[in-house]
Amino acid sequence: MDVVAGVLPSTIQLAAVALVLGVALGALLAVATVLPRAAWLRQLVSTLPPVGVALPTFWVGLILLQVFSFRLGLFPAMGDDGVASLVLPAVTLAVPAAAGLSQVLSRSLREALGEPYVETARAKGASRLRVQLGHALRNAALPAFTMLGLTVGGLLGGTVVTETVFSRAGLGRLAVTAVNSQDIPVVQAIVVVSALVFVTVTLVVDLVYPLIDPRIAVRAPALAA
Amino acid sequence: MTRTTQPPARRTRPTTARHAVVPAMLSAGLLLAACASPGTAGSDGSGDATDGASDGADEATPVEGGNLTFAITVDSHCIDPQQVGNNDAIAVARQTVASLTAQDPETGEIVPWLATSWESNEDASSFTFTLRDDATYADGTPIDAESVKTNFDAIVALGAKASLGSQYLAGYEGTTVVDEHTVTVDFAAPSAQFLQATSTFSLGLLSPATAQLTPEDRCTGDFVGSGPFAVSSYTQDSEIVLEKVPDYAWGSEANGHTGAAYLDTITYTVVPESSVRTGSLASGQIDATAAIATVDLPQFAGDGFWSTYRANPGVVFSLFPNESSPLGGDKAVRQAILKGIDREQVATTLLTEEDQPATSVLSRSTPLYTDLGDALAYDPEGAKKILDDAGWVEGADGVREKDGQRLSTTVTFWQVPEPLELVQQQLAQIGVELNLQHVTVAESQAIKESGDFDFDYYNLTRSDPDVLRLIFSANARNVNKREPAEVDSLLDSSATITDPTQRQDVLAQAAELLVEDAHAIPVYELSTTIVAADHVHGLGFEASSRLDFYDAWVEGGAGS
Repeated sequence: MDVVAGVLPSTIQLAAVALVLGVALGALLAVATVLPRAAWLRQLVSTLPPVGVALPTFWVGLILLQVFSFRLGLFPAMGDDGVASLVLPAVTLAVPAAAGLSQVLSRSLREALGEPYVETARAKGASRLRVQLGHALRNAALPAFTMLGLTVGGLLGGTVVTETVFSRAGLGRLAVTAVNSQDIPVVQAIVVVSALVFVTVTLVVDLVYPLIDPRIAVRAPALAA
Repeated sequence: MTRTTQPPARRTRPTTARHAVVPAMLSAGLLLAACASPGTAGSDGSGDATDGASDGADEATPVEGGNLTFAITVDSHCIDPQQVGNNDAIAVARQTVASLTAQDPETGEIVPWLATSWESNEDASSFTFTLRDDATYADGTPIDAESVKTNFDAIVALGAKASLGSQYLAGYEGTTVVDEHTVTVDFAAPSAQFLQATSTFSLGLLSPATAQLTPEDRCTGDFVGSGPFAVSSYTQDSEIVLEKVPDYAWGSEANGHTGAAYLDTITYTVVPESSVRTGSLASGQIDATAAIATVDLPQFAGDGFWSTYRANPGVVFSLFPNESSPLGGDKAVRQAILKGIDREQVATTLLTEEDQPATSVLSRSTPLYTDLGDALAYDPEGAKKILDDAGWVEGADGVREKDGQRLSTTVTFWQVPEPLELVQQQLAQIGVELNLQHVTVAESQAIKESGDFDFDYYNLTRSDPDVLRLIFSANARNVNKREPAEVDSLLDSSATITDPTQRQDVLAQAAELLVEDAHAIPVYELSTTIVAADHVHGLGFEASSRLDFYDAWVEGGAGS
């Protein structure tokens, strides 16, 4: 357990940065699939998420390394000290996360934009931007928010590959080493920790629902009249 | 039968230039370099001390200071010299200890290091060493007779954890402190290999205080050594930093100098992905590595890089039949497989230009090696004839059969699969089906212990031919799980012979018998290739092809 605790901070740091990046990028992409007036631009943007989902993590990582580390020398290819060494692995992990999130978000955004309240808002003279971001996005956020729980699970899984490609110590690397050396107690500890993280995130997501959509809040049942 | 000693490491100096960072991308490739030691958990022969040597071509004057960053492929979570068996871990551990003796990489000769002289009794069961009187451990404790005894006793106490050292000390009866600088080590039976074993890192000396620590603490780098470098920091799965011991002044004759190491620090970074090592070296993020995939080597032939190559001494990569299994016990099958392998093709198509097919059970760089190349020539017709004569006839799918049993067998291994995949194709042509069971290191160890396999596959690095006796003798490890045979008396007697000519004679006969009865089916020689940037000098191999950083230096010293 000490071993797992030792590498956990590094993985949490990586996953957290990747999550923030992924959410930001995913939201941006989703909005970009509905915001532009030009239909061709909307269509072009909406082809990106499926590509992002399809790209294997290790390949993205290696390509980023080739370009930004080996050729341009902007970031170190290995190690885990400093912000610079966090950039490439975090981007690598964020790509599939962002793609998945934006797929869900853009779909529900389009649905929300067809709802009557959008018409009402427009009729009251609200701007296009305000309708889309102020009204529709908030209502469309719920499914994507549910996705977030799954995304965290995906990030944990992604660290197995990412930490290996970027030579970082962490939970994923430890899992690989432990499996290879058949170190069962360590494998068990990793499984338990991962399960705990997953359950906790899902619980938090569930608890936060009412804050986004007050209709979900559990109220005391009204007395029958 | 010719006798050769280790060929000097070859060094190529770049002439042509190519700078592309070729993405080796998906090719995890033929990563023959690191970790190729024997099977499993380092249960094998390995190393020795001695050093450097390879880089005689360096005419420049060494510069002191600086850091050298070296990529390794895996962190096996232990860097204690007396416990490690994995090549990457050895590359770290070797630098932290000095040994009683050293071995000249050119001649295989044992030369003084911490011991200035030694003698053994008639039957090689008792060895007396005279220590130099000025050497100390990194914590300042003198390296005296008492501490040598503490070390050897501690290695024996480590048992299986000291996988190599405990083999070298098999039959250990005890160490006697004769006076402050003289010790006698006694064995229950003749042990001619012990002298060479004292040159290995496995019997390298650690401060007596270290013997009090738990094996686990020692693994994490808490030990105090006697070598030119000491552990500065160790972050698991990430990096290991060694710093020089400024007072070190007892370099062996096998090295280029005797004072403190030139480098201030060595940083070993763990880079598991092959293409990342290639890219990191090409882009200057690391200075050197011994783990560049074969396919990527050509891009370093020039333009700011040099490489040096050395065949690992010891037992070559071989198939080891389990003769207690039905097919492994069938001599005709074994002999047919031995003749049905085109070793030349394996070496030329899959390995580097300098890699060689096996020409004996031992590699050419092993002291007292004898060439048995003729017996290992590719002879598919001969193989078919042996099988025909033994009643194995071709079945409907091309695989031979006898009494309803198909000639289908399995080899268990954890190393890179490509060489065996080629062997598999070659054997199909003589009607033998070889199934490949690729497992993890830990699984392969478990399978070995269970004895439930037809053929095993690995190599063993050891710069002493005693490795033959150690693994093949029915009275030692008996990898074939076979009944005692004629070859055992030859193998066992080799342990008692100290005269090199006589010993070579006996070992050559033994190797011949091992090949003749196909107790070993040699395939190719493991080699190690160091690739380094041009500002790195003096990085080379010791006699067992272990990396030696003692003579290494970097241009610009502290600036790098």
